[in-house]
Amino acid sequence: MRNVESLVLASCVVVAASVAACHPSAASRPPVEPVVAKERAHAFGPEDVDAALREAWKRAGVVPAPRADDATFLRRVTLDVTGTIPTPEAVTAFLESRDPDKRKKVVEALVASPAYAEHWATYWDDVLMGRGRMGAAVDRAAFHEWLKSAFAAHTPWDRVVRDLVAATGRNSAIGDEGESAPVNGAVNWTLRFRDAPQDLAGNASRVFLGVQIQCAQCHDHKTEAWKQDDFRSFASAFLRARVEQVSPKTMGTKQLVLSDEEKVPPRLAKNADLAPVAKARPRGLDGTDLEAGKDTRRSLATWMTSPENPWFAKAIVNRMWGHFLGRGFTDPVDDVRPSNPVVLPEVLDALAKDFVAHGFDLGHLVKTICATEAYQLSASAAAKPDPENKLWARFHLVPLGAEEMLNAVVRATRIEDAAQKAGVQRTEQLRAQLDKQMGFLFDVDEEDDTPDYEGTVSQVLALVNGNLVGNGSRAVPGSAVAQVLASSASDEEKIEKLALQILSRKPNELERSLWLAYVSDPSRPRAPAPNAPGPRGNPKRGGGGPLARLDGKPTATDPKRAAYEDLVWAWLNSSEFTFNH
Amino acid sequence: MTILKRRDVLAAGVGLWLSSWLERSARAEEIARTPGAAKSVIVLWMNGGPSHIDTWDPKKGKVAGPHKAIRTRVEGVSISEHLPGLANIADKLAIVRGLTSKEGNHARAQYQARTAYPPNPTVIHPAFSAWMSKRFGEPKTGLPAVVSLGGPSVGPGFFGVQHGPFVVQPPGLMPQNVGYGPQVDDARFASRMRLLDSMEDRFAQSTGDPKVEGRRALYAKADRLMHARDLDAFDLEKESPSTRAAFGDTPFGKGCLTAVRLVATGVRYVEVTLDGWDTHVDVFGRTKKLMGVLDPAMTALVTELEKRALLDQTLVVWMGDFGRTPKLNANDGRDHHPAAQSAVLAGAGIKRGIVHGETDAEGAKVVKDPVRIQDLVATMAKVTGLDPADTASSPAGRPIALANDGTPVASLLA
Repeated sequence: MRNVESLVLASCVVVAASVAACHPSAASRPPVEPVVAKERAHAFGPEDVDAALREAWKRAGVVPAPRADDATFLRRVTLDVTGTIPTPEAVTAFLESRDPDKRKKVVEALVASPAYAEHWATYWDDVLMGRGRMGAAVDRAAFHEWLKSAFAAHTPWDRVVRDLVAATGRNSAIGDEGESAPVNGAVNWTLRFRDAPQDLAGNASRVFLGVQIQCAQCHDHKTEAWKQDDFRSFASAFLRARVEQVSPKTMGTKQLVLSDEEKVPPRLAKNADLAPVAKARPRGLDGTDLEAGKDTRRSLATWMTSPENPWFAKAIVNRMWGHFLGRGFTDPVDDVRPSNPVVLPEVLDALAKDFVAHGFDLGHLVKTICATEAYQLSASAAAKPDPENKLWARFHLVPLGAEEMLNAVVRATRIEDAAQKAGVQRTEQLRAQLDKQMGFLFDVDEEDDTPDYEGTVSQVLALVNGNLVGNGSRAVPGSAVAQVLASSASDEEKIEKLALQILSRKPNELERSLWLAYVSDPSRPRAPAPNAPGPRGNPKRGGGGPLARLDGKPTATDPKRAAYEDLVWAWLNSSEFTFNH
Repeated sequence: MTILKRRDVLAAGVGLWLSSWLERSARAEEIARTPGAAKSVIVLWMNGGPSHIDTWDPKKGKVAGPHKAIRTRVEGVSISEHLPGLANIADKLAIVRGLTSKEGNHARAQYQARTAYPPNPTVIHPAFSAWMSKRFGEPKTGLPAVVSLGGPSVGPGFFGVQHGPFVVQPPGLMPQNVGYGPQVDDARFASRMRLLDSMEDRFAQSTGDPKVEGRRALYAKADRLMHARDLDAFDLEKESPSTRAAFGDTPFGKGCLTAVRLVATGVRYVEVTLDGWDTHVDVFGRTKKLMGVLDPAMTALVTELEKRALLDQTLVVWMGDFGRTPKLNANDGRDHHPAAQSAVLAGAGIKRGIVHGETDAEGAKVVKDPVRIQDLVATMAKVTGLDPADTASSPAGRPIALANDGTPVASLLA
């Protein structure tokens, strides 16, 4: 608490008081519901953000980009809110709509859609669990389901985090026979760290409070405010979780039950690294004393998610802003400290207060962010931003993550329809295999905004030669390109249809003429047979994978068809497709 | 074809980038070479934690189990009877018997072995391989600086994905996606790339965002790799049947032969994985099988490197997650045992025919010349001409030293 100015000091007192007030009876109750502070109901809407940003732009001599056009906005917001690109029908309807409120309405519809829950479950699954392999203590699928139902129900954020931090119950139904007690997928997060609860503390602090307390795990740092004692006291609050195995040891996931202990279990207390943590009195990061006993995790959860907590609301607002705008009020979003100052702290504060006043409703936050002028600016060279574009005067290009990339390619190419036509029976299985491939290739850290493009040669090779884009851009029966080619439309109409399908927009005049010329070029050579040897010994190119079944069919049967395939291939490989812009 | 393609690429505007890139990598090359230092590193990664007692540090009595020890070409040094080939070339090896650490969890130990640091949620450390990539740059051939055969290995951390390993899975095959898809040939590929370039030109212009140029640079790099002459290094058909046979007809054996071919082209770091060492069950049966794969492959690796005059410019390291318990568990297996483990080094800058360190009669504790993981990493750094104390700043502004607080093990150095 010596670290973060007087604001924190002041709120310490409030927090201490509220914790004391709720604690006598806390033992017998589930975590306390927050009192939505109606009397302090605070409205800080998009217009207020706009006013503050315009002021900041003026001060910094920044010229903002022009507003993004409708098609760009729709693609952007569909990706950000639901993790995929819009269907061509949605694009057409949006472009044709004359409703002045159509942008606002489409955001509301997306927040209410099932894809919203799936996308945010995947997002938080990645953030909390990472992409690494989990041990037998974790049922990843049960965790994902738990997240999904929380987002589908639009559970308030403070509630989600309380339920996660203080979770108790059984981790998995794998191996259940007949009627069994219900499963609480949330416990899997704590179980992931059961051998290293200090890492759980670090993860919780970083993700939910935006504070990298774990830097102080090993020793005090001269330059930063957190001390080793702060870390130990906070980490101590995570040490009283009790883990019991309920199913006999099997090969797969173990069935475990998570509950609370009065004292730090011996297996942790005896660990040399953890001994000083086990001895420390559990405290919040601002010094608030927490219960030491069976209520520790609950009192921790209550402290963490309190409307008065100085970090909690700001951390999620910063993270969400960073997700939507491509850069947070800090960069990275989960590292707030004196030497990494917040851009426009008053805007972040006001948005956080507004979020709390609206009952920690993430949907409300999403709608606010998406309605701001900054979010609706184009990624245009016409802007004159500050050096690192910290003030969002131009929309930051954000590379699509693994999930978004796969969703986008699948929707753009209709590869699943093509695979089905070719006799691939189980599309869920196909999807899972593709998911694994993509996850491996496109494991990007989206909490970081770097000015350079961070990518690998393997990613590029997969897009250039791999069989998802490779077959997705071929006119195999059922694919988007095959369907468009089968119609009796003119070339110009075909190009427009495909552009709507893949780029989620209509071509402009210049593109129309360039692309029309490309598909109409009479001098185009004939494409080789499917099994013709390439420069690197096709067909031994490796990576057969789930779509290899489509490889053998000749599709570029005449130069024009081949040209259309080329066009689709180039679109799928373009920066326009692979960035959210 | 390659020349024609290059001209296409140049015409499309990537030329400037390409020439500055070539210049930069040439410069990196100059800085890089300390005379006599290893140019490349091959790590044979024993995934799962190899039992030291059943391989390089055999014991007598109950601990030993059915495996016998055999004498090696080095006076007074014995290793497992299932490593006869390696026993025969032990005069070229430095066996480290006093390796020790505290990390008994796979993920944590694997991370530490590659980065010299235990995991810490606030910073993702670059692996040693990433330091090689960062400090020495990319080879001029178009091949990647770091290759993992059978990976995934450990990544580049905050150095960024461009310094991460190029993963080939499984070893012995051409890398995935380096050849064209169906019905694509040189002419069609070139036409597609021109079409793509014109789209990228317009998008780069309209957005003014440097990320677009960064992405195009990566496309140029992928194009170079696809058409690199040295990509043949992955093609084992170019080797004689007898050479291939010497390495063994296994993915690991093929990986070892590929590693030899890769370092010959100037690839900086190659890791070859042999998985299956997490022997909680039937340790004797399973280690015997694994040694049947390891012995011919590693023996042939060292022998071929020497034959091709590459051994004195290549550092070979055998290592894994941790050692295993002297005591057998109920399933005739051995559990995780980080306190005592073995590693083996050979090649450039390394003494030949020595054993460094010693464990007690059971193989439970290191009793002489302990070597910490970070000391091993520091030794690897030293041998390649890197400074173990070289630091880089983490995203949070903390200085991160290459080898943590490790120091090179002087008695291993030639």
